[in-house]
Amino acid sequence: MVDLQLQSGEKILMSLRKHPLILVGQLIPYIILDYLPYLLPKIGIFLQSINPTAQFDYAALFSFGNPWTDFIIGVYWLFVWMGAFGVFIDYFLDQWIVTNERIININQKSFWRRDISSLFLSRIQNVETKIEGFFYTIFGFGTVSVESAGAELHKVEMHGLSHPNSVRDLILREIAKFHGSVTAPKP
Amino acid sequence: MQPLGISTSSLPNFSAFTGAISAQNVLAVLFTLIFIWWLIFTLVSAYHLLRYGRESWLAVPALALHLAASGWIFVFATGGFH
Repeated sequence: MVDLQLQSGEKILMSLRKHPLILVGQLIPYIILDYLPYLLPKIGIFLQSINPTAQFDYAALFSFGNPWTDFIIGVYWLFVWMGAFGVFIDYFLDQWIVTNERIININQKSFWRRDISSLFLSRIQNVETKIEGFFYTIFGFGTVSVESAGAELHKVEMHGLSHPNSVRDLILREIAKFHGSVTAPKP
Repeated sequence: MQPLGISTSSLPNFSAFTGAISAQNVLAVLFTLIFIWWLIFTLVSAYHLLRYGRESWLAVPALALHLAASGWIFVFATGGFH
């Protein structure tokens, strides 16, 4: 990570992204949009059938092979593809990194905005996991929320993680190591 | 006495301009604008993927896939005009 400088003695324990199924779910609208142009020839044939005396050959106009139709569909597909690729980049660059000193939250909010925040283990007050919903329960992904102590509440929410309970246990173990406690969950 | 009227020589001649507009010219301008938009998108995507995701093996294949898919779409869109 170019924009992330670890402190001396700091080690990355876990690098996390959302579950790949969340990316698949976000890509479904683009897959549907991608298939819409295949309906065009059917629309052309339908228009031709309801108006057979029309001077315009709708079936030929709305069919693949017409250069202008291909051009318009190509441009449409290009923008659908760019939208889908943008979703992938957003998924790929959103990351949580757990080190032996802190949790780093990297959020790619848009093409021109990237937020990075850290929550130090020494300040963590509460670690919570939440698995709710049909798909979350079936595929075993959920949310890990980490809250800091102190005057100003700082909360990091890691949505859509695989094995959220393992992540919570890792964080609790590291907190316990940090404080020298023996109550940490066993690996 | 000279009749009142507008001298046509003082009006701009648009015929040369309108005569230059053709489907091919519109297509060329449209295609150039779309290509510039795509190029900016691709450069920014590549910057992000290679700068922030370089430790992952997925960054370069994803970029290659983007270039391949975009290339195929460009060929499809303009293939009929060749």
